[in-house]
Amino acid sequence: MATSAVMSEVEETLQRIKSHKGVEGIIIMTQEGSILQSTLTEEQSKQHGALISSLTEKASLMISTLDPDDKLSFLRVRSQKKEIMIAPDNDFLMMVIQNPNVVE
Amino acid sequence: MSSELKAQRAKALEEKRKKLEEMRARRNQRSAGTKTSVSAVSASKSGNLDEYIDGLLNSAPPIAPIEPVVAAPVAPSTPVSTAPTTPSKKVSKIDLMNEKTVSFAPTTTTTAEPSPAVKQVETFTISTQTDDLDFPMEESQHSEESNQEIAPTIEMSMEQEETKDEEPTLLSEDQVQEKIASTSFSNFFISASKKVERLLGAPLLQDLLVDDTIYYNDQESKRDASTSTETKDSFISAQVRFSCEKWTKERDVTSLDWSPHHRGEVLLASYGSSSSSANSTAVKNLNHNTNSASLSRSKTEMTGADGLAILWNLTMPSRPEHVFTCGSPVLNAKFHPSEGSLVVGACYSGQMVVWDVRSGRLPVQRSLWNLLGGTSSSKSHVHPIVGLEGLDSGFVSAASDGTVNFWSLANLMEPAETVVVPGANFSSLTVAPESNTLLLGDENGSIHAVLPSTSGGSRSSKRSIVKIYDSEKDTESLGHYGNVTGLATKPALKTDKDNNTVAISKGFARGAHGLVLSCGVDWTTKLWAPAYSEKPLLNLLSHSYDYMSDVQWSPVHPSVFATASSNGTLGLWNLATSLDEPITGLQGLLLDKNDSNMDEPSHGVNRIKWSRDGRRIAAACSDTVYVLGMSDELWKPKGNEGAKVMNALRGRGLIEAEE
Repeated sequence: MATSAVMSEVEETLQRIKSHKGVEGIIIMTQEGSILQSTLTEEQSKQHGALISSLTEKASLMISTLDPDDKLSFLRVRSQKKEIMIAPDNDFLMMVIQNPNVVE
Repeated sequence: MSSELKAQRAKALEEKRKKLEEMRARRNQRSAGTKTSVSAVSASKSGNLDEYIDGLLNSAPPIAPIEPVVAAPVAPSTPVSTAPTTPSKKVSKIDLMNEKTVSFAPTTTTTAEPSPAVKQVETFTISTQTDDLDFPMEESQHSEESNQEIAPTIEMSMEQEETKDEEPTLLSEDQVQEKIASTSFSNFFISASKKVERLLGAPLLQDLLVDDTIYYNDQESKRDASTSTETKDSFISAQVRFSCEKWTKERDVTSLDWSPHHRGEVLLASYGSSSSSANSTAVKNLNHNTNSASLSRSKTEMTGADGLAILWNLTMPSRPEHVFTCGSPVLNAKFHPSEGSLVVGACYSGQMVVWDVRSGRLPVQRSLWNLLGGTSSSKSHVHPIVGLEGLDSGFVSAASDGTVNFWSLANLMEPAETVVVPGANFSSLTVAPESNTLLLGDENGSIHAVLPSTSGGSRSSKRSIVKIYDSEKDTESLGHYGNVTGLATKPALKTDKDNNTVAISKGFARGAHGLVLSCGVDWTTKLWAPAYSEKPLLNLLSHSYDYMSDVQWSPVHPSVFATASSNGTLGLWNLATSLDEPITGLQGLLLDKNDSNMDEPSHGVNRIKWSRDGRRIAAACSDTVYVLGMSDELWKPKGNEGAKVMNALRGRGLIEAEE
């Protein structure tokens, strides 16, 4: 029961995020790289997931090396076509891909 | 042959021992010199190989037992089998002991320079082989033990490496469910999605913050989705709707406050208990009468929690940043003036509650509340708190039974001072910031003023109570006929020190800054100058032939104010432009549009609140909060509007000319 409530909460939130302008996909995965939720196709998810988790690992390593008391909390990658937002946590990671150039 | 061999081995061992001692000595030196050997080890490339080996030997326990067992015969086959494995184990053991090296080692070896790793392993095997040759059973047991210790971790790290290299796996439905049900996931999910939504909503903030009326006028056609309608809305540059059906559905907004801490990005709204009536009355103090008739339970997940306060971030219109609940409907909520994480709420029950964003949904503190106690034992309110305002030293609250409590920030458990106005039934409260005079609206239309003690600020002296307007005695019927729903004074002047202080008479500032507005259920909004006269100067009746629910001065423009009507419209007035009509026209701005009929309002406007910089206004329609961006006309005063208003009032003979 609790699970389904959490599940619906999760889906609700994903839906809300997805309704934002230009959002192309959301992936939630564990730090080990297993994908929990994704709005992309399986192939895309795997590709993105692998790349993102290694990037996040590097970034987090960089932060903790510069200051051992610090911790990576958010990562924003802006390219010409896309903006990728990554919110990592101890065990999980959320990634949102947005096309910021979309006109309403 | 065997003796020869023994001698050889003994010789080799002797050499080895020397070497070891040498190494140990060097290691001791090094560890004494550099405590942060981690970086030294990891940074060591081929040049510092000795040091690296030192590091390895340092933490490898099997070294010790070598000496006592010099001559022990060992089957030649065993070392061969153990030799290649031990080094790798030892390496990983070191890694275990030195967490930092773990994180460093894979990156340096796998990506940039794979050579050091290879070399290290090679050298190690060669040098230890002689050792291992003579290792007795004891030692092999030892290594077995350590084997077992290490084994799981190796597997784990192996797994990790594997998953890193491989493509991410898609978990089975059960696994996903399990993960998602964990608390660590929900914690992560809440914070991560909030961060993302905050960023995705940033353009919204831009719409509301960056005011450029010309831009909006030019692009009017493009923006008709977010801005409401035609030309009369040129005062409003943007409109965003804040509601979360799950929490706020059918709950009337009872108060609004802008955060003093977050650059105007955070808005606090308090909500009453849910009502089933589709068309709730807009007047705050009346809508609670419908509660007893309401049988339907709220469809939200709350059980028994009737009070609700929500922190809205302007970037997230459909997601409350924080949700607070308590047992009684919240009639007023305010940000703590100095502690950014605290929110103070005043309840229908008469209780004051304090929420902390760091500690969850329920209040962290409730004021002492004694239903049975008389006024002597418990001074807290036992009636609905209809007004809550900030003072320099804390808060002041007014309850519907005619009591006014002063609270210090240090103690929100018990009021510091209580003033009782006999026979009064308060419905609204405001504070004149210059003099800290309280203005209280009565349910019968009277307006009371509570003047601060004049004797050098000593708290013990009584505050004097003045009835500015008495609806029962005053036969000329200039004041309000009924419930005074809103009172507004101007915010404190930001005068520089050398500027002379504002002249105060009768507890109110003279000049345009002492003007007071009131509104009531008699459809009117009235302008008062209590420093000059006890009668209302102007009787404003426009844009609404209905209950007026709130009135607010602009915090930055001396002659602009906004009125809210229960017919669903918002009026914007500029007294410097007209003393009789709102600048928004006779119709007012329709906020909450009915889905079926675009001209009919579906809900009245309950409350309005200007942002601290005067560039936005938050307006509550039933259960929905709208935030409107204002055009610069409304927040860029030309400088002389205050004097202009006073001149106009004098010109009409409403106030006597200054001597």
